[in-house]
Amino acid sequence: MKSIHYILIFYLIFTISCTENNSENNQDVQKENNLLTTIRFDNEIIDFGDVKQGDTLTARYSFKNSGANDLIIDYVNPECGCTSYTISQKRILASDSGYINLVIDTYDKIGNVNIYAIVKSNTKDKFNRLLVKANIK
Amino acid sequence: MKKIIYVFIIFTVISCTSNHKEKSTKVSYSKNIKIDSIYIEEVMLPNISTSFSGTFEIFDNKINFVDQRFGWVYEFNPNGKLVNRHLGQGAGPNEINTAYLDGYVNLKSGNHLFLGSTFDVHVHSDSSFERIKSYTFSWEGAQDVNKVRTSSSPDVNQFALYTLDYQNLIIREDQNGNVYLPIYGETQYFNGINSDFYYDKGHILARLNLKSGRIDKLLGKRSPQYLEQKYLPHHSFFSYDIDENNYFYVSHEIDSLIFKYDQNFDLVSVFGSKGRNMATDYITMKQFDSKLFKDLYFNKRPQLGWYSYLEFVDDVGLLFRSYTKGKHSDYDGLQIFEDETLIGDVQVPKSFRVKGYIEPYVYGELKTNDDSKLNLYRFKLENL
Repeated sequence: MKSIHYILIFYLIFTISCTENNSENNQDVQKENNLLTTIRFDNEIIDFGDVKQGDTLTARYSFKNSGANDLIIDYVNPECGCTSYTISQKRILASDSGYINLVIDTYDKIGNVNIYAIVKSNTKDKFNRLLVKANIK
Repeated sequence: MKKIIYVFIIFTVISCTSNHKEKSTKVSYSKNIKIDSIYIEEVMLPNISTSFSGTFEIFDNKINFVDQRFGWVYEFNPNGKLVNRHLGQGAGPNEINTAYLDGYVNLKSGNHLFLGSTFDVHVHSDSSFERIKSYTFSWEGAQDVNKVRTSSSPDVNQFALYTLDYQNLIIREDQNGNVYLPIYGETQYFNGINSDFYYDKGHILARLNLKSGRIDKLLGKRSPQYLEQKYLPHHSFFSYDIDENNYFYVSHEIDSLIFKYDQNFDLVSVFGSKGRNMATDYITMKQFDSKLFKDLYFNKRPQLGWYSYLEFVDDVGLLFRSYTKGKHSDYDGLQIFEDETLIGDVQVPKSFRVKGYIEPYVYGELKTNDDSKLNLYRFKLENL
């Protein structure tokens, strides 16, 4: 009989602890969602058309924080060693705008090229892709 | 003295037998056309947040799209309905901790193996996609790297001679849990621009032992066709697959023949048939010229035809080989082989390749530079 008591007490503790965990998890998710915002780029693809090999290309990607919370740019990750970037600021207030410049050295490129950079931010989909296109001659 | 003579005789017999084995392999051009055409339909997919760079993989009645740039794995049902989204770049246990996914294979266990750009391997579990392990695989050979790479008489079995072929990173797993990675060489005396030896003896695959995390063997070789056209480094990709009996099928870009090997990479058979209406006036390179290479690779290559992709679909026991025809054609070709016999050579959209089977459809994707759309297609095999 005593052992049944113990089992019941253990079950009760287990249930409460699980409920608390779930509720903590839910709160975490809620908290995370509350911190999210939305980002809207004017254009994610910039096509330079024909360019001369060796030219330096600067592509400006303007964006707006179109959500209610601060927009935080976690990182910009250009995939090519030929690309550097600048960013207007890493934290953008709601309704404010910013930009990312990609600067590409075409010295070692030829033909139709696609050059990418990935942007991570506190949005639901997390990632945006910036693409520079050019036909290097 | 007698002993030495015996050993010599035995050695000669063995060596002649093994040479003979390769030389005597018959080439089959067998054809029995059962499929004249196929009706390919597009599988409509919902709008998703993607970089549009990646690959579809079919496994266990699921269709996964692996987004190389964002690290997402989108799971669709056979009709293209979005079922779930997994991973995404990040360091969490359910995220993929690498900036770019160069390669992917759905392992036989159901787990997922991703390869990053720095020899980094990431294994995630079957359905929860939780990280099981991440590590950098070892490429270490027996000899000093610099010595191997500068040797004027390279030893083709030295790992350091090779590097991963990131432009063509088709990863496959055999039935024993080994993973294979395409490789190539680019050292001074061992490269595709000025070395007969490279084409004659060089290996094309590295075997990664998943338990030890090490490359443990180099395998395969290029088609003899490459020695007849000196040189075609800009057409030296190959594709391969492994069937459920551990037979390897290897197809080289410029060769209409498919080479079948057993698991020890001994040649079993050679078969194949030329694709239809392919432009194959390849331009050779006589010496290293970076500008010429880039021109041939980026500008001329897309105008020509070549054999582009192999997929052995165990569910139906068929081998599918895609080929491009060239700029003159609005379509590409798809060959279908059954027991090494060509049973179909049909017209398909440009850059179409078969990726797998979910009854009653064969699924495939377009491997294009399209940066605004995911292209998933399917067709039925009506006449079999």
